[in-house]
Amino acid sequence: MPMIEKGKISSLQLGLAMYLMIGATSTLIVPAISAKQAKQDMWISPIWGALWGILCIFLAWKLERLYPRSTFVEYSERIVGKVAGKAISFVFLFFLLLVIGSIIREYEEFIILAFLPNTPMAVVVAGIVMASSFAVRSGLEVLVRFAVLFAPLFGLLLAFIFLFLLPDLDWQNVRPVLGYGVMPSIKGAIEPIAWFIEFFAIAFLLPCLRNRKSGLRAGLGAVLAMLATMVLAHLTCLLLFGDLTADLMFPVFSASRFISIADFFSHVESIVATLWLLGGFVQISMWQYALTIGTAQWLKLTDYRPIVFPLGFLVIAFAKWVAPNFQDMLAFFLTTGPVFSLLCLVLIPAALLFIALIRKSFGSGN
Amino acid sequence: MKLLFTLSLALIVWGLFRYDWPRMNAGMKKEKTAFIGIIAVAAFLSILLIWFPRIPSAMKMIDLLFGPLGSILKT
Repeated sequence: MPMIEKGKISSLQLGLAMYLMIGATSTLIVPAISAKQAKQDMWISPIWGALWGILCIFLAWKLERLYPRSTFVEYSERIVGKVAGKAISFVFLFFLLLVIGSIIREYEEFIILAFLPNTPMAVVVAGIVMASSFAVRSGLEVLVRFAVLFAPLFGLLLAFIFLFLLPDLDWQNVRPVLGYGVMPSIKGAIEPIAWFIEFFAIAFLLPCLRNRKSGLRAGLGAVLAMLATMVLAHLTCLLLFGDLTADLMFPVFSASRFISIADFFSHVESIVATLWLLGGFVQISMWQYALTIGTAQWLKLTDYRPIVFPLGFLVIAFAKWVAPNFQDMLAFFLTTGPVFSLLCLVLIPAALLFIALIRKSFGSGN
Repeated sequence: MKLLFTLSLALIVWGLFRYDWPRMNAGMKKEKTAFIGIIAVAAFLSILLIWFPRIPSAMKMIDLLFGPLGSILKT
């Protein structure tokens, strides 16, 4: 079957796109959640998460090596047969819808809390989904250019928040390091892990890579960049707020409100929120792209562009349906969410890889 | 208010057809079916959410499936 996506991307573009695809929301809400469990060791939690990220990149890369130029939806059918493959892909596509729904919900809550308190939710959601639908319709090459444009800005932004807050940071907050053993940091890592395993979504981009050999390196680079960003975000919150971090909704954003240098360099939070919006736009478009490509391949369409806007419509409905309110969503992230993510992003791909390796070694795979 | 939301929903569906339908040529039968199917699912879900906002959420449904496993993490 010919490839549905005609565009080709470079490894740098792939890495930056993956960085933003996971990164934007992770720095927005994850510090508050991991602070609940890990307390002063919260900055160690992303390191446990990154190990899982590396595992997921490896899974996606290995599967793509075995079935060149095909995405998750295509090779799952070839590995376990038509019916079972379709069923697995359906679960995965539903999971993608859920992820997009919750990402958009996080953004909507963020924008309404920070800037537009009186705007109805539907307007904010429809606005961003419409923009990202147009981006997805233009194809992958356009999307990754957005990523190349915004990812460095996003990384720099977090570094600058940390730098500008240096006078206010209290380094005593990290002590005692591992004071209660490693367990608190591992418990606090549940949320970073749930975010890092989303790196498996690289399975939808790897087939479009111009130079297939560099896929693994680009993916691992993205994981490392993400790790650095997350540790920095966690440290900023920890050093500034200490134990208070757990009670804040968007701790890094609250931290940016603290920036005030020489009494004239202040109120930078509007710049911060703008950059977050741009990062979020890329993030939502990338996930929506994965969903669109996946659905088109699941239905064996010849072109994915006709279903971009209908799927956007579905995504808007999902953003409302995922959870009745933000608190319920955060509770879900701490309980069932990671289990479901682990099933879809680690266990199913690992099982597929296992079956594929057995089939290859007995020579019955094609 | 609910009626207004439903009407704007109809407007969105009309807009989707207006924008995308002429771009598909006669041979793309499968695409047209998928187009209508996805819009139907999305419209159904939206109408359900507008008229019965208290229906169990997606996360609640997954909670029912994986709830016992999820509660392990809670401690």
